[in-house]
Amino acid sequence: MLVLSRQRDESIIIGDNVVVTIVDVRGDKVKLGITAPREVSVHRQEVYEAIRRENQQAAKLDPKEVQSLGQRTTRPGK
Amino acid sequence: MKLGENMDVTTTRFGTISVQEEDLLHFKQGLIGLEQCRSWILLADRQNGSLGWLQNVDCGEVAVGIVSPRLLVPDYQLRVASNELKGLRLDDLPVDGQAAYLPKDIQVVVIVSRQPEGLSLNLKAPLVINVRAREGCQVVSRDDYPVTHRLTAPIATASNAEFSHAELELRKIA
Repeated sequence: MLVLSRQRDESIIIGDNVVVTIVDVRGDKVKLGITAPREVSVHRQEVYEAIRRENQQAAKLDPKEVQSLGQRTTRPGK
Repeated sequence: MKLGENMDVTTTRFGTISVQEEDLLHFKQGLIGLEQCRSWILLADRQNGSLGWLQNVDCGEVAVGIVSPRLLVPDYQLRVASNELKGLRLDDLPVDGQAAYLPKDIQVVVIVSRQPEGLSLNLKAPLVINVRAREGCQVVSRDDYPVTHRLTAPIATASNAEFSHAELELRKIA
């Protein structure tokens, strides 16, 4: 991991076009501003981790467990 | 597998099913946390016409329940960074500021899971499926939707939202 020290209002640039700016520092909370092209996704890491865990959990779900979702309705087609 | 060839897949939930290459849905990057799970087949739930099961064809024990999010969250909208959709064969997406609007032949479904309190939907990371090209990927929404949206009502009675015209074609279990 590259470790840099930055103060408020200072920035780092990642690649050609991702800029991370320290917007505010208050206690142990740092507010970051991220400038990136539309095609680059930016997410909090814990969100990614939560999705990973959820997928792995969901992959164990059994059809019996989803019966409360509702009964088959009569519908044309299919 | 060549087109027209049959393959038998032994699954833990649905017994042994026979699949053909043209039935497969290909997720080039698998799912987040399940990156090796790339080839899937879509099955209908026996009890519930609104529910589909994506069964992995390489790992018989891996399957996820999927529903159209608008059945339970009528105003659900998906906004993603456009690079998240690079895995799919999509023509240029019409864009509006930060968001890309998905054409009608692209299906968006969400995965059903179980929490201690009951069933939930992952509204934060839906699956986007290009039905014609038989390709899909999991994306992360730019919006603040929950990973575990609690389900409090059965699909059939949850809302007046008509069954979305963008519903996936469900292949019935033989």
